[in-house]
Amino acid sequence: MRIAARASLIALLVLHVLAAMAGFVAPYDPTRQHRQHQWAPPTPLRIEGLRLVAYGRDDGGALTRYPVKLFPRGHDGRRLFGAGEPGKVFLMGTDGLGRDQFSRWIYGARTSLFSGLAAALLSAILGAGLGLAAGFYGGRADRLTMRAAELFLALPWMYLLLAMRAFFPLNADPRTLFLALLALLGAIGWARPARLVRGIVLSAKEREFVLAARGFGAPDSYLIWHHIAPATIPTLATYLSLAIPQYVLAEASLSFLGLGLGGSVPSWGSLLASLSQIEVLESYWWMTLPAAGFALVFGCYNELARGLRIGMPAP
Amino acid sequence: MPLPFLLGRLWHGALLLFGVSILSFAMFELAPGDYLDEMRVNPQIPPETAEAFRKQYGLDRALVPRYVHWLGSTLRGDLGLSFAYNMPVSRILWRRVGNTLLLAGFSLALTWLLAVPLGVWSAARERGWIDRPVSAFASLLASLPDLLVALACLLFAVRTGFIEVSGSLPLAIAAMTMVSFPAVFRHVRTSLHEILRSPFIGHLRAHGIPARRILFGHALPAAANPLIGLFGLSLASMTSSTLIVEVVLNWPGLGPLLLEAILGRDVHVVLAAVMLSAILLLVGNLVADLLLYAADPRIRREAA
Amino acid sequence: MNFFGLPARTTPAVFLTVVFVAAASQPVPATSGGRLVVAQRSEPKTLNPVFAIDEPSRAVTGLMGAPLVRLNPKSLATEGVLAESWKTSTDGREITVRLRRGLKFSDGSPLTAGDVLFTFDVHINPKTASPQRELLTVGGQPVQVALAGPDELRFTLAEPYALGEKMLAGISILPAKHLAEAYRGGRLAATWGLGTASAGIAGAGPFRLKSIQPGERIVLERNPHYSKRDPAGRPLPYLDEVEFVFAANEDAMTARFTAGEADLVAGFGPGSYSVLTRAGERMKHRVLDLGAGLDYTFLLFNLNPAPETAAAPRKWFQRQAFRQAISAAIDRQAIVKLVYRGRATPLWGHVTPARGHWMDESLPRPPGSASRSRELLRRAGFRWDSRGLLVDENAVAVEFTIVANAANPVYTQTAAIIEEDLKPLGIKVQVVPLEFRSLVDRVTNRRDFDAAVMALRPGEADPVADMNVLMSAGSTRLWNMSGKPVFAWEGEIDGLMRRQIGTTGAAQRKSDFDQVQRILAGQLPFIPLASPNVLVAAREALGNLRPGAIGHPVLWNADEIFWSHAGNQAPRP
Repeated sequence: MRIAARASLIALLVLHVLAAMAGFVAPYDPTRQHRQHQWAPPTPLRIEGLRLVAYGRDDGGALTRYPVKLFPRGHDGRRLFGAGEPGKVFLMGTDGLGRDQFSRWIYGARTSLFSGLAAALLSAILGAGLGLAAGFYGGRADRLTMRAAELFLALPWMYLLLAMRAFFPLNADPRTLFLALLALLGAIGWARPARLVRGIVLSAKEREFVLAARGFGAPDSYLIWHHIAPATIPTLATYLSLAIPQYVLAEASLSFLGLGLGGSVPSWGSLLASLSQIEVLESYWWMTLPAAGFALVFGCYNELARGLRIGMPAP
Repeated sequence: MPLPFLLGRLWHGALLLFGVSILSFAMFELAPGDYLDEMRVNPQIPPETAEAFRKQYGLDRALVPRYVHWLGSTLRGDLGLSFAYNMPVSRILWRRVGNTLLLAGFSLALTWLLAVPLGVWSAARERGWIDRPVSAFASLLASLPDLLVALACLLFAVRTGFIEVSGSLPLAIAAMTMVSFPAVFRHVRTSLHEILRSPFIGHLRAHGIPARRILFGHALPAAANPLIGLFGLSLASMTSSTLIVEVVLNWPGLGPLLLEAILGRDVHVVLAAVMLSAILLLVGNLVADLLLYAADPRIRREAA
Repeated sequence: MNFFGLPARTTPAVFLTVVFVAAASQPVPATSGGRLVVAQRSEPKTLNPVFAIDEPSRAVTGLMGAPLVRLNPKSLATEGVLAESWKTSTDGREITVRLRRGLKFSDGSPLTAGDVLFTFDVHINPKTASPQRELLTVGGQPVQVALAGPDELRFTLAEPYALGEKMLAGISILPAKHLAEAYRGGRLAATWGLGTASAGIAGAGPFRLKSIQPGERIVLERNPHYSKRDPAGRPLPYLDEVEFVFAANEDAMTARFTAGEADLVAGFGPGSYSVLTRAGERMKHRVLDLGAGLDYTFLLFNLNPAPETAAAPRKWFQRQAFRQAISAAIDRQAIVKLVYRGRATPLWGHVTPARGHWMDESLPRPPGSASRSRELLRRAGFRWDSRGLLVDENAVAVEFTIVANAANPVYTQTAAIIEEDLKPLGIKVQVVPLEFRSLVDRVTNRRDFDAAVMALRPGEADPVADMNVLMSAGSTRLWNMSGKPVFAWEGEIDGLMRRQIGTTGAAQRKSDFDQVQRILAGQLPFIPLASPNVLVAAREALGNLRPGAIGHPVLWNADEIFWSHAGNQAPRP
């Protein structure tokens, strides 16, 4: 694997760990409104001696220094860092309700990254299962699966999500809703991996050693598990490295279009949504910082996919 | 292409469209509320008026008769009425489709006009002064999702005031081109690169044939096939790939219309737009196959 | 409120406004000619004034048609348009209207009393399903219209009716010659759509249709047969043309204005306000904040009687003290500041300042206070557990969901502010953004929700606009859609609203409506939060602009608007 791909993998792992510990890493609750700090730009930080110092205005409006502490204890447990009250550390500034953008970004990473991962895995598992069965047994089952795959690829999935929302109880936990949405996306997305896997299976089952094993009377399950399924793994790995960011993007796009499910729990899509307003683009540059973080994740996944030797045409 | 094969493809496509229409109709029925629900929270409109409209629009009928009615009139070429615009769907749809095709067509042409020469050059002069910056730029673009590219274009336009922000065709074309450029560029570069390394090019070189003639006379035609396949694919995905760019940059194409119609429960517009993008997908795939068939003698033999 | 009808709190931008409005209302010599380009969010759905319910359609048909009388949105008084004079009998059951002489439709054909009879026949006929029919039904009987003389009409009502001649204000007189056939054939609703050739459409308004480019623009031209004249005797309107251009969304709409492609834009939010104000420093235009409009946003409680009413959270909502405690905790100033960037007016009752004297000024306006809220909750039997969470007497933790329209950040942000305001009380609120139709379906059809952040727009300042919203029989009484009064106070509101609509005495109506507002402010079936201010941007050189917060904020007097000198028109490609 190339160095860039390895670095990307490490960066992604670190980011996932940070996101999983969002409650510790984020200095504030993502829904907390610092109402005196509407549209605050990122807090200026300076290293003075050995200490990191945040600058902020006190209630009287005078510029004041607040040392940034590591592992401060708040009322809801320890945090990674924070400034002593009334000082604030807004690494990415605040939004129109005075909510800390960095905390929202890291909590959003938790929702978006993990649900993207879950959805991609689900689509891969479903697709691999169906593709294996279709390719291996062939005949009517194969034709039926491939027709269904075509139908699913031509389907307008936006309505599914609309329709689904109607049947959810309102008081369901937002994260459950979110996973349900991604599970649905994953379930719709089986068609692409199924086609890929089927192709691999079709060629694998004509290989000499497979034919030989069959000749010795090996049962189907043995053939599938020991000879055919392993042949699909590199393809599936590449598929996943391409599909995960696509699922993260799918969620982001839906939230962006106003079809997302997120409530007060932020997702990357809802963070990007404010960027469609001219006023925000014109006046509050720090609102683009979450987008930069989003792009970084995409870059890492992209590099990883290249490292895994791209076996598929770019989408 | 042999006629029976073509007919088979068409028949297959028609079945697929039928399936899409049934599923879309059923799913739309599951979505809560209908177009006239907006009137329910307008104190200025008495419920009798809303009821009269519901009857006029045929929304009071059951699902199956409505589907049959829609299917019948669509097959006769009447796409029904858009409630939101109070106009036949066809009058809205064609204008929007035109806009989408304009955007997709221009950006497709621009992408290929840029990507093919740059790709050829990069492959011929690997790590040269063209290859390095362009490859790096392509890598950067490839790692940016379309949503971010569109937003970046919007940001650029807002901050510089260089291009008019809303509904500007050049801006939308620029965004679309940036979205589709890296894939094409990389494809051209990779496939040409492989061919330039292959033994038959080495033989040609050994025969003393000039590099330029090798590149344009032999390597490029040999690399054409996968590119034609890619071209067909990008034709097929034309309408679906423009959706996000259109919405972010306010280009009045099919994408914003579809979104608005879904949110507004403008059922005939939704169905027409969905069916149309499914048709474009099918036609794009067919065109890709036809191009490949025309270009590659091996496929021609196989099909025969 | 000061002389200009603007809020007393004047920011610099508003100050400019005042100067501008004052300058415009000075006797600048009006010049005829020129074209006014208006940027609008969406295209009209129809040009048929009977069925023009959406704002874009009303903006356009409002210029093409003319009613007998109109309401001045600033003074709320009646002004004659096609009517030369009108008289309401002392018992309020008879209105006599005299038409002006020599009236003509825009195609040159005469407008007669017959056309007026035809128009009202169309609106009253239940088969038409006209949105105006309800207003024209008094005591269960439709208004009877008859000729009282060659140019005189008599409207007879079954009972005294508070609105009097104002009930005629929303109704454009239709040309019977053009529409009678479609009406008899039951095809009226489909006539005068945007597809109709311009030749068939006629009205008595200041402008008439010139051309339509679907999805792009509608051009109106001066109606040469318009009968009004200015004080100097010159024919109105001053403008040669009014052109409506359509943009896909708010940003696109305001962009057309800043690009110089449009001269007037209204109906944008606080974000665009600051963008336009900044652009105004470079260009010759003014951005106006006209103060509160008629709309109000509110937090709605689900008080529908249902089998599950006994279950939490709807059980808590049934208690007045709980609703009052929620209201006490909400910081309305924070909503105005954070959600609307100050371009809204906080509300403690649903009647906004734009409704003039109908607003009960005596309603208390306490600022958000968690301690008062705690006190109310404690007295109502709620307690706090060891973790500081609010619990009811059965030790059930108090939590509920608020649904809000996902498409508009204003509503989800307002809900987020409420969520944050209730947190210190130990109440867990979950905001559920829903796509708009799903939300309406839940609130009106399935009635399956806890609380909702929504907004309503009354049609006019008069209490008649609240009949549907406040009365048990009303179709928009969102907190309880059962059609029946459940609580005693609901019955009381029914009685007061019915009484005020059946009286012509202004003082009696005012005191009845004040009483209704006091009951609502005490019972709080919905908690009024804020009214977004009406924002408008216009070129400096436009004269006679008299923007008002009711109806179309600027075009209501389009016949009097003029370019103060042609050189000031923005250059156009």
